[in-house]
Amino acid sequence: MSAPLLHRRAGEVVANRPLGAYRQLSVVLPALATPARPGQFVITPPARADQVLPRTWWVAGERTEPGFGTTLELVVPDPPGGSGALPAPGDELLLTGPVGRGFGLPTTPVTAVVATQGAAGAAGRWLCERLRTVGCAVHLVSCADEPEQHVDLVLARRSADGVILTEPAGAEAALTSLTERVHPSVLYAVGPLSLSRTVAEVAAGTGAVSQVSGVDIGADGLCGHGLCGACDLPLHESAGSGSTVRPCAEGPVLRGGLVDWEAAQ
Amino acid sequence: MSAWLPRVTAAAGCGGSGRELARFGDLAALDAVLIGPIGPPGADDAGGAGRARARLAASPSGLVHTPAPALPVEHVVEDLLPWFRARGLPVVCAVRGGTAGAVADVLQELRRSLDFTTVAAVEVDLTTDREETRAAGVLGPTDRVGPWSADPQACLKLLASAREQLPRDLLLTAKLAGECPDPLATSRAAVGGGARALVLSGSVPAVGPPRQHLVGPAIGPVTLGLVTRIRAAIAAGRVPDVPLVAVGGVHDIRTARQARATGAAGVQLGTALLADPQVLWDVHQALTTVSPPPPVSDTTD
Ligand code: FES
Repeated sequence: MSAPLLHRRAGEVVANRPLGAYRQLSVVLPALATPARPGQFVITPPARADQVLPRTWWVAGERTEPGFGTTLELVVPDPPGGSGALPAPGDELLLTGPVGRGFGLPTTPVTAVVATQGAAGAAGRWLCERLRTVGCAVHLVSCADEPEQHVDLVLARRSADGVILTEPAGAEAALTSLTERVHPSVLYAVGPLSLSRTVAEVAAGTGAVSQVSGVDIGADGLCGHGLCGACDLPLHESAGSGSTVRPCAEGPVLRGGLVDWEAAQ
Repeated sequence: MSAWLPRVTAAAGCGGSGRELARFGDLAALDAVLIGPIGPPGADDAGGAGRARARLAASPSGLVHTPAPALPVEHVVEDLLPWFRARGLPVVCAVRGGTAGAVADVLQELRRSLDFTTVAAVEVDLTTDREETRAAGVLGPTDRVGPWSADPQACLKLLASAREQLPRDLLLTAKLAGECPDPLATSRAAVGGGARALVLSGSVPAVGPPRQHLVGPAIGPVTLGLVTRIRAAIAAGRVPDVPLVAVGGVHDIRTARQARATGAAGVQLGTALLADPQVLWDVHQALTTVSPPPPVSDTTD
């Protein structure tokens, strides 16, 4: 048991501002021992006392300043009924995390495609920035039902070499034509399982590798702690019959090719 | 009545495989780690939930959930028991099966393991659906006939057959919940069959697809009601004197102490861990520093 224990810590909310259809929270914590990375998430207690399940949010950015602490950026859906359920600047926010292993970056500069959907777009944009810092050419495919639900397009366009907007139903077609055009070595998905499945299948069709989120962080009905089994996904038979993975504990980022998406429904 | 009993563990289905909890605290600080539900080899378990993922839906102060996926016994034997034994951690195996044969198979597999020495107790789930074999040629091979706990005779046989599979001195417990129509009769039968402690859950059947249950703080009073009733029956000599474990709505130090004051020797934490696994250690700490539960004679009817 060499890994440090995951403990809930108190952070201080220093900003809560609108970001299109979302809110961006900035939370200051004691300095993290290891830097956060895209694909990690945080777990925070339920918004109200009569709720049982915690909330899970993607980490959308991190900045650590020695002697000051770590600021985590969290982009979260605007809760129904206004932002009342979200903490205000100056409030304390209890957080576990950043949790999980996050996305791996290529060791050589290659062409990469990042697909995102909804609030996860902020984590996707952060991933694009990281890919660019290691020399990759990055194309972002942002999926949303409504135009204003794409996260922060101005910044996204600065973080990627190309940005394609589509509705979720058009993701497969957009990804297929993009991969035919730019021949990526790696495809990433951060968002709901339907998007992860699409990206895994498009990657498999072109022989590229895929790294996808195995649990829809931010969705209802999750514990995020690896204890409830709500996020379990079946693996291909080659991993042993009946093998499953528990993405919130073992991921959330998974190799897309390992999951039996058919059996996962 | 001084049988060893862990003061607090996770409830079956709320502690992952036990190993996930190690990310949040030192398992060695606890009395034991509960793993389960453990199901028969192969994909399908009792109740047909198989390895289907659990589904949780929020409800005021609670959670409506489908049965947690069962851990296949071969996974427990190959991966989990060695891990726990290597660390010297006592384990409670929570076992679930639709027939006495299925439960006996699981116990046999566990017992055959070289790491069985780390198993400190076995909990048999009476809340799950019982299956009966049909006459050949009629539809499917088995029929669901409602929960075990609805049939005291079947519980007696199930526990007796489980008892036979296990070393004489190993703690065997039986778990029943809010679906049980006659908790006194079922408790008597379970103890008659060989259970040495009863796990009482306030979890109640809920709306939606079959086998959905309501759990969480909302059912705390149901759990305490069940504990009070069985305690009173023990005091009146209508149920043999065994320790009780309360599960359902025990979600913090206060409710754990309340359960102890009501007469439970141990508690299990369920949904509380989903929100904050640290509560397991907090409650353990709190229960370590309080006096043991009151003797039976203190319980009023
Ligand atoms: S969300 Fe509960 S185990 Fe993953």
